[in-house]
Amino acid sequence: MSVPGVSDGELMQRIAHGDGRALAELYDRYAAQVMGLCVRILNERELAEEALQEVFIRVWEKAQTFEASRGNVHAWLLGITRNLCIDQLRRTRARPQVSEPAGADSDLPSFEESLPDPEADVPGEAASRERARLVRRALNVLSLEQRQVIELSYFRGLTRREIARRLRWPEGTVHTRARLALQTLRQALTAEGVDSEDVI
Amino acid sequence: MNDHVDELLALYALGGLEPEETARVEAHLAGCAECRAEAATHLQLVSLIAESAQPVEPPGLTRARVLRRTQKPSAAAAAPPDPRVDWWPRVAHVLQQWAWPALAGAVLIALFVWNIRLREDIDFLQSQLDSQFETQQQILNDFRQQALLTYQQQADVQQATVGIITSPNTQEIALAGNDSASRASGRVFVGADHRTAVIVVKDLPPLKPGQTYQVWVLTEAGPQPSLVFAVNDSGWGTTTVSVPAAQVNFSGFGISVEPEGGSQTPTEVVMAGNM
Repeated sequence: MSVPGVSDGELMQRIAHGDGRALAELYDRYAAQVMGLCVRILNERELAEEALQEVFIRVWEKAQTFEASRGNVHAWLLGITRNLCIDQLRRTRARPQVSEPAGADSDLPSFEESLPDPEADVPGEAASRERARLVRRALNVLSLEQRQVIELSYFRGLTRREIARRLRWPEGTVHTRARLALQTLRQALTAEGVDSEDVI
Repeated sequence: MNDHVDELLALYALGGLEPEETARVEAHLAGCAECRAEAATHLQLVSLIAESAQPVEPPGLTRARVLRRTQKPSAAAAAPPDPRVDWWPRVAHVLQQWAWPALAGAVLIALFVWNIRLREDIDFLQSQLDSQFETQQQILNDFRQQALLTYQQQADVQQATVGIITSPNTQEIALAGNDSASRASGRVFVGADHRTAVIVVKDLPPLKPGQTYQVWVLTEAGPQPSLVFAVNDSGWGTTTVSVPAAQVNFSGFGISVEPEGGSQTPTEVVMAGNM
């Protein structure tokens, strides 16, 4: 039922006018990727499925606030996903009975470990999948400390002070390593032929 | 001005600033085009990091659930409360007028009415499906089929519950509250094969945000986790649990207070009862 001729931006306009079929089309295009990010952050499939629903409900409710001039739909969608999942993680962490995820500093996953199963039938553009593969490769170029900053801030929702406390770094070092991480990642992506400036 | 926040922008894009720092950065960005441009390049890069997660195919039913929740939002918001949804307070009132001997009957009536409503919904959806099958696009048909399946499953559960409560072979277990829920009481109606149990409780204390009640099947190997459930403002609640084959020799049931989503071991047991 995919409608390849319709751009994401056009779908968003139709969603903003209450077109449920446009939302269904957007879901078909990006649900697997949104679900993947939910699983990556929440590390629990049932919670990820709930988050996936909430993401698209939020898209439905907030479509009118989407501004095409400020970014593409794909990035906006993943931004909503990340924020919603991190809110969920922080609520979970606030409970005294539930322990934190296993030590991020000792079991930091390799970004290559999250390579998709080549046999899996995941819908999506081949170019997008290839870009994701290149990004994972570029992330593996980063030093352990740089990857820790990205993992703990972006995927686990820890703040600067929390990262400093957990890894016993001075707080200023967190900033420095975050800057270096993005700088190194940009260089690695350029070497892979991915221009992050063209993403949005 | 740029010097004030540029060292914060990488962590800002990664979502790792403290709330007060985020507010400071955003206030600065509103008036500084140079920092705004730098922040945008960081955010572009970070959106690529999000793409590095391995895609995971969600279950087909999730799509139907999303689409169902987006149907006619304005009508839903403006409409008066649906009497079909608001049945529990009335049932609770009736139950409170009568003591436990009347409980099974009252619950039976409520479940019977609910079951009929669900069957009506199924009939309605089926008739809609039949009449529009020729003209609807396949995507909408998929949605209706999945909604139909969901209603059917709910109706099946309710029918099984009615069957247990009405069966002469059903066993009853009394549940009593402990010190932290001294007024609470309840009944468990256990099916003859010990595979299904209908649990009805009353006067359970209200929960704090982020908490839920959870059912435990008491076995020789210790309490086994079962469903979580909520109670209404008056402390009344009911749930129907399926007992796994390995637990059919249970000795009783317990109710505990758990974090939202439930636990694998009981945190604070508030009620229990044995065969």
